[in-house]
This record gives sequence, structure tokens and C-alpha cells, in this order.
Amino acid sequence: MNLDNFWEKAPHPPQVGPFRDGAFTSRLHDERSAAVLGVALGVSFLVCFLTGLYSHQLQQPASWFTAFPRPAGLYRLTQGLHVATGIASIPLLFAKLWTVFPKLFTWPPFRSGGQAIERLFLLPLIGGSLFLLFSGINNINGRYPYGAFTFPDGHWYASWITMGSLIVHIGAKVGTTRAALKRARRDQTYIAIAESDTDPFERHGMSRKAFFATAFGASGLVTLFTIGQTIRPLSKLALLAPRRSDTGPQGFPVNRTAANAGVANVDMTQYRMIVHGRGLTPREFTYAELLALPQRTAELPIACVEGWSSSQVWTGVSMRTLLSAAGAGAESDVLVSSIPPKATPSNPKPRRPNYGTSELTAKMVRDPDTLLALKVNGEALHPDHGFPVRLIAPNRPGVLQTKWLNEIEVM
Amino acid sequence: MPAKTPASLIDHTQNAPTGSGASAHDELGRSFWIGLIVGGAVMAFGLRGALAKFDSFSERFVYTKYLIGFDLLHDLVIAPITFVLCYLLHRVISPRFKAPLTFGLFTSAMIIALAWYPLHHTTQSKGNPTFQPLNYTTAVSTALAVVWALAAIWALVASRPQTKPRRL
Repeated sequence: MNLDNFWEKAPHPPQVGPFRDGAFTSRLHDERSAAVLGVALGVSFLVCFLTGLYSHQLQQPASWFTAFPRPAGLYRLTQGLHVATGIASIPLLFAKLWTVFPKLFTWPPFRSGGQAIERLFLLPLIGGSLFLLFSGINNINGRYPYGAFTFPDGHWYASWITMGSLIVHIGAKVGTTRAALKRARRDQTYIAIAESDTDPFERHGMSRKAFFATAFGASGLVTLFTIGQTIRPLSKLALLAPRRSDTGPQGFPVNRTAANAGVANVDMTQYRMIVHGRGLTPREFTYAELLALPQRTAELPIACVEGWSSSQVWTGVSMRTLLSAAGAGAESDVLVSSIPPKATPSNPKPRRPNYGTSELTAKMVRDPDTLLALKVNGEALHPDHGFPVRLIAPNRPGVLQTKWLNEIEVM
Repeated sequence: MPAKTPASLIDHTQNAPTGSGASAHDELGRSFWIGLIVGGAVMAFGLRGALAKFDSFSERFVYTKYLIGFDLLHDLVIAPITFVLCYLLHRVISPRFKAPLTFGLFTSAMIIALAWYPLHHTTQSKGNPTFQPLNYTTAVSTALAVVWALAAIWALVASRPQTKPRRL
């Protein structure tokens, strides 16, 4: 469906401002710049999407997905990549939007029904991309200003909407991009000869090389100044990171403090770990009894959805040892729960907060390094790290490493 | 061996500014329609999920406001301001220093945007000292110092006479 006849009869916008012919003179608003930045953004968004998909499945598994414990540091890698590529995408996205901004004023805006659809899909693509980066930055800073929806839901659905519109955009631009990149290689020699004849600064002010150096340089620097929250040797360079992997009680960060969870002062004379479930006689363990069980030590990372991670040496009772002591096998999934918050006059029957419980698949339960940790780096756990007992298991998001445990249900 | 040609005579029609009209590649081919089917399905999955999750009008309105709002914020506020700044930069600054200055300004803007919350210590996890643990005024100043040192080196290199040998 060609709409050229329609646009010939339609009134033209006035030749003012950005609608003026030649309003955007920079050669950098061309298909080659858009193609290079588009490819970089395509790769970074794909990495973000796939790593986000994996993180989501670990936290809210679909029926077809089973969490697996090995390799132990996989989640640390995928979530570190998720946040790092998200941050690296910010300058690239703004550079790309700058490059293609004149398209907004192209007249006619579309020449066929297909082009109209393609342009319509740019709305969720740009809005969704900016929302994903904005909500991601909010999340790593512990800010949730949305009110009507939660961050995980908002971010999750926006990622599908954005990826869908990105696929449509890639379908529309794949030919243009391929041609622009091919042309870039073909023209390189000719342009190099031509540009050596006169001073390039006099002609353009900013060369394409300088433009890419600016976009990719900014992307690299913001990544360098934040990635130390994931990669410990770069920790000192993490000047912009809202978390540092080496800062906090016992040398690593905390997401939820004991005071915030309402479990700051656990009465250890009353404390019991209860193991119960299908076909089991409930069994209670005191803290001393847990310490008396065979102990296992493992170095495992604690990796947060917010991108920070830190490896620590944990000591405690392996889950299968405890289940065996309670007379249960390690063939079932288990549900672990934390101590409910203390009752107050205003909240006489407090409920466990979000992430106060988490499920472990039988595969996770069987792993010898799935621990009910009692110590970290040889010391009893700090209350903010889950004293008296916390779960620590390989390849698992930090929010599911439930703290302040007092109940295990065999399902 | 190709003949020497001044840059101004090279056919840049295929690299023309994107705002100058439709290019030869604007025709939508089969890949677009395949992308539309696949991408449309992916998007429909997200939309269906969002509609099911956000079942009240107010939830849907707020969510849509965020998605569309960012688009409008970019097109109506951020981009025009950026273009005015670029225009001024083009007019005021010697072309030789335009690139390093653009690098410095753009990277600084990205750093300040990224560090905005830590700089203002705006987190809902107050009482947790492991959130935003640094003195971010010092940290951000250090990061900016690195950026402007790099920009200064760039400007220094750019100010030297061009002695680049011709590539054949």
C-alpha cells in the first residue's frame, strides 16, 4: 500500500525549526552511525534480556524450569553481566537516540502501511528501553517510586514489550544495517585518502571516529566505575556503585537488616529450628544441637539481583545432613522460612515479609554445599547476615538465600 | 589504485543525514514481516502478562504513564536540550576542541545521571549502612577528574599538527 498520493494532498508542516530542510547538518545522523550503535545496543539488550530471563526463572520458576546448583558461581556471573551491560547501554542508547532523532521530523512520516507499523513500534521500543534502564538504576539504589506496581513485575513485563518491539525494529532495519556496515568497510580506503587532503577538524568539527570514541568511551567508563561491585579486584574503582562488595558487617553488604525484618534480638533460649513435613514426625533442634551436627565448610558467592556479589567461606550443617538427622531423605523439595517479625501493639500478628520463605528443589537439597550456615569466615553470623541460621546454596540469587531460619518443611 | 578525491566530492548520498528523507533501504522486506510476527508475539506475551498482573485501571494507567512518559520526556525535553547545547558548542568552540569537549560533557552527564541517587542519598533502605556507603561527592568528583583528564589529553593530541601519513 503506497501512500505517496495521500501525502501529496496532505498539508506539509511549515519549514521551521526541526522541520526545516537541512535542519540537522551533522553527517553523524546517518545510517552508518545508527548501524554501529544499533548492533552494540542489540547485543547488550540481548545479554540483559537472557540474563534477566534466567534470574526471573530462578525466582519465579515456570513449570518447565528446574533450578540447578552447578556451576556455583553461574548466577554471580549472569547477574553481574545483567547489571553491567544495562549500565553500559545507557550512554550507547542516548548516542543512538541522538543519531536517529532527525527521523522524528522526516516528511512524510511513512510511505506505506508497513512503515507506519514499523514507526508505531518505536514508541514501546524507546519508552520501554528508557524505563528498563531507569527502573534498573532505581533498583540498584533501593528506590521503588512506582506505587501501583512492584519493580520485578514492571521490569519483567517491560522487558518482553521492549524485546518484542526490538525484534520488529531489527526486522525492519536488518537490510539497512547490513548495507551501512558493508559500505563502511568498502569506503574506508577512499575516505582515508580523501580526508588526508584537508584538516578533518576544519571540515566536520567531529569525525565519526571521535563520535564513536565518545559513545563507547562513556559506556566503558561508567561500566568501569561500577563493575567493582561484582569484580572484587576492581572494587576500589567502583566510585559510582551504590553497593561495594567489601563493605558491610563481616566484610560484605546486606540487603535487609535484622532491624528492618523485625528480628534484631533473637531469644536464643527459645530458639528452635523445626523440621517437619510430609510423613515426618516434627523434630526441633536447638542452636547448640545444630552446632553439634557434622559441619561442612564451603566457599560460596552471595550474589544479589542488584549486581553486587561477594565470595565468603561459610560453615554450617548441610541441608541433607539435617534432613537425615530429622529422619527425612533428600528426594523432596523443601520450603525454608525465617523467624516471623516480633509482634508489636500495632501489629499483634505480624506476617513474614517478602522473601521470608524460599523453596529449594530436590536437586539443590542434594548438593552437599547447600548449607544451613551458622558461621561466616569462622565467626558466628552477624544478625544482619541472618544469625542464628541462614541458607546459603550454590548458584542462587541472594534474595533466596533466606536469613534468620527457624523452619524447614519437606514438601 | 583509486584516484584521490576531495572528501566533499565523495558520494555520501547513502550516508546522508537520516532526517533528509527516505533512503533506498526504507523499503520493508520479508525480514520486517517475519520480525513483526515474532516480535509481535513476544510483545503480546508481555502485554498479556502486564494486563493480567495490573488488573485495575489505576495500575495500568501508572504503568503506561511510565512507558510512554519516558518516550515523551526524551523527545520533548532531553533531545531538544541536547541539540541546543550541541548547536551552541558548534558555534562557540573551535572545531579542533569540539570532540574532546563533547566527550567530557557527554561522559560527565552520564556519570552525574548514574550517581544522582547516591549523591542525594535517596534510597528506601535508609538504616542500612551498606547502601550508598561512600562519600559520593568525593567519589563523583574523582570520576569526573578522570574523565576531564582524558578529555585534556585528547585536546592536547588534537591540537598538534596533523602528521598522519596517507593510507593507500
